[in-house]
Amino acid sequence: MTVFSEFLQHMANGLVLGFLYALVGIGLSMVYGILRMINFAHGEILMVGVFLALPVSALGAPAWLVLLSGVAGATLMGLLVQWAIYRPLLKSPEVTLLVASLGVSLLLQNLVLMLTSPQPKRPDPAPFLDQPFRVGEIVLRNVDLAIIVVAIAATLATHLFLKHTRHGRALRALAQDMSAARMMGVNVPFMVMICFLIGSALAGVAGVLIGYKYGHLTPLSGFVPGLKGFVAAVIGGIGSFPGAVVGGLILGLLETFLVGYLPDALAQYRDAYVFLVLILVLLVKPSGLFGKPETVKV
Amino acid sequence: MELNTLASPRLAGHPGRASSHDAPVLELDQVSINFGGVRALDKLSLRLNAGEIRGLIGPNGSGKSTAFNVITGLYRPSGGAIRVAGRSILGLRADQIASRGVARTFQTLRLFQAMSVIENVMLGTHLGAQPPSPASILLGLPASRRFEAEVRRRSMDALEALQIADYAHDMAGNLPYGVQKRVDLARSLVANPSLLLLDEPAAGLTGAESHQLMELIRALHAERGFSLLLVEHDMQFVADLCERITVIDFGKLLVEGTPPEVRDNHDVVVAYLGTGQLSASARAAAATDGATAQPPVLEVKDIAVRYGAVPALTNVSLNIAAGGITTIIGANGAGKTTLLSTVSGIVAAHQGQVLYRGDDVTRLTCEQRVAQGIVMCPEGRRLFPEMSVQENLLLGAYNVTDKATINAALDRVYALFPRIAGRRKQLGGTLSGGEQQMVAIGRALMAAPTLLLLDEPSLGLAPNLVELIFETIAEIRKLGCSIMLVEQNAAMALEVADFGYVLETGKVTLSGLSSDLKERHDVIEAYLG
Repeated sequence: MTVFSEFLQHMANGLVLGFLYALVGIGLSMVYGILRMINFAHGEILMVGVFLALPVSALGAPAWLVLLSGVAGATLMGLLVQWAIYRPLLKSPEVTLLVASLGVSLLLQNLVLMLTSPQPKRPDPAPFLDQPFRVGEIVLRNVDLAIIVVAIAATLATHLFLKHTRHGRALRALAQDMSAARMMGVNVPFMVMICFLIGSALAGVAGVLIGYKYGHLTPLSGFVPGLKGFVAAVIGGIGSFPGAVVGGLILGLLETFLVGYLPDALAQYRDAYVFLVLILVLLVKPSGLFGKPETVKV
Repeated sequence: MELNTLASPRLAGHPGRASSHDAPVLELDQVSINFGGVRALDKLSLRLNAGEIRGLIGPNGSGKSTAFNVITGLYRPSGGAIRVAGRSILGLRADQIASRGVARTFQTLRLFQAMSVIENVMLGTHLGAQPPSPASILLGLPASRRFEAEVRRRSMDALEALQIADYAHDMAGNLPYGVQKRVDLARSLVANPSLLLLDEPAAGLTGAESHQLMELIRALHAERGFSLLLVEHDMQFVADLCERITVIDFGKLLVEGTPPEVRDNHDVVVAYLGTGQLSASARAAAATDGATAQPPVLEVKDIAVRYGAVPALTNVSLNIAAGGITTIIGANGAGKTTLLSTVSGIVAAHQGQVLYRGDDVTRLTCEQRVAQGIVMCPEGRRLFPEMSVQENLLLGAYNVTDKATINAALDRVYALFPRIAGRRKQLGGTLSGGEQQMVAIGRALMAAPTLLLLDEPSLGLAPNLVELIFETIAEIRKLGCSIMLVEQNAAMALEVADFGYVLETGKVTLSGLSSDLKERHDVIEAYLG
């Protein structure tokens, strides 16, 4: 393998990883944009989605059906959490919501641990997805290709929704000026629900794809994707939709290249580098790539 | 005696000594500052002599609070010089400026709600004093105990001076508003400032309370001799307290003089009340109305609103005629925006009813009222800055789902404001103030309102644009909607409206046909005392 094709291989792996982070980051970013709240339970919603999809997979359902059931599971979970826990706190200070989301995160982890087991699980293998896919010297699997295609489709659909529909516009308006949006007749609680619906559905997509790619699922599997989705959102500028996508891709590429080119002894600390990046971004440009610095009027 | 020699040298200079030579206590020299293209202060110059009491007044948005924030180091000016007792304070942090003997109070109270009154006031001494080292505090050394005792004694003195010593150990957040205001004042006094900046000390106080406060400030000033710069909307308060008044408008110096000079100055009257010159057609529209036999579209009955302990509206009742323009005028802080917000459902009334086309809508949310046709065009335009003109307009039609109706509404708005028709794709945040106001009005019209609530549509606009906006308002009534117009520019508002109400400190004090109100001198008094 030449140096150049090795570079291309890392690039491809990084993009695949980046799209997964982007899918997770979008939901976090959108919720933050409207409620100014970091939803720490976002990763657990992803995890619950994929755990609800596992029985469907065990019945021998095709991968696309497993994906849909994962999306449905995550969406239901997200809406339930929003309705039962965040909605009554809508008028509380932001920190209350933040702490509540930490609580939900722990609750869901332990609930799933109680109801299932700490044993790693995986969706029933889909032979087609595991087959290799070659472009020149780059080797991926079909599942990687599926990740790229599905992630682009889901991101594009979200973009079109936000840009061209009545509710999408209302969602963006809400993020810019909530009380002005109310004056236009926008129903805030309903739109918050829509926002959680979209974010959770995208997390569900990411969850099932992660399941097929890595095949090692435990009740704690939502934690790391959730945190990395958060880092992706911060890099891009939390609250910004394109920011979350670009932030996810940057993070995926950065992580893959660091692991690929650093000596083995250093490469094993991949998660540490991700958080180093987070700290650097927060120090140098806390508003991220697409974010606007917040100003407080005195 | 011994206590004093320990503490005093470390505390901020006494007013008597601060200006031993002739330098003015405060000097602003051609100070400018911009906020996103808006010139909040425009080469403002001001000199305040030692021991002087000066009022700083001007209409809403003229830059008074910005001036305070620049002097106290919260904002950094983009040009000009600021000197305190002859020394430049540019680039100093707020705490460094405070240690030069500058203290302030805030327009909105910023007390530590969960601390006792005495603790709040003791914090004020940090501004001027060097506390003993942490080690000496931890060890409870005599020096630190003496320091603590001295700080406590001076704080009690300040509370006594403001006649609120009885509240010393009460939690600040539990006290009546008038007392909290005095605690804020005590906190600014305890550091023994040579220059005191008061931002609306009388706001929210009753007539009697504000009179007492004025007497107190006068007595304190006579006793301690500090210099005082005062921003206040209550003109009576300013005129009674100040020897000289500086009037600013659009961030610029307008007039400086004694209270009577300022009150009789034509430019000041115009800055506050505006000028009224509308094209004949706009006035004709107002004149034709006269007596409509129809029942009012909106009835406000005995509404009261409080913000925390502060009353904003008391027993306000009024009617908005169907198909007409009704204006609510009054000085800043009179409660005009609160009244509109109560009608739109943004603010909840504590008492009273809002009847819309005969139905009680008092308990409906803002969104529900929009769906019924009560649409607000808020003060300060409040466009969605990162959305295009067209998207902003489309949001106005949020409740409309029929494409053809939306397109017809868009055409109507673009016909009304040809100037924004060519800017459909431009982002709201990049438009000029006048264009933003056009989009804001257009956005409200997109919902095809029955009752349009217009909050300060002319605020901050250049005179020629003000005329244009008012002529458009006259135009809008021809579309068949009733308009409730809140305006600072009383002269213009009375030109365009059929009927007017004058609001003073949360109460309706005057009402009548706008042609009659225009002639009455007490309207001017509602603004300028």
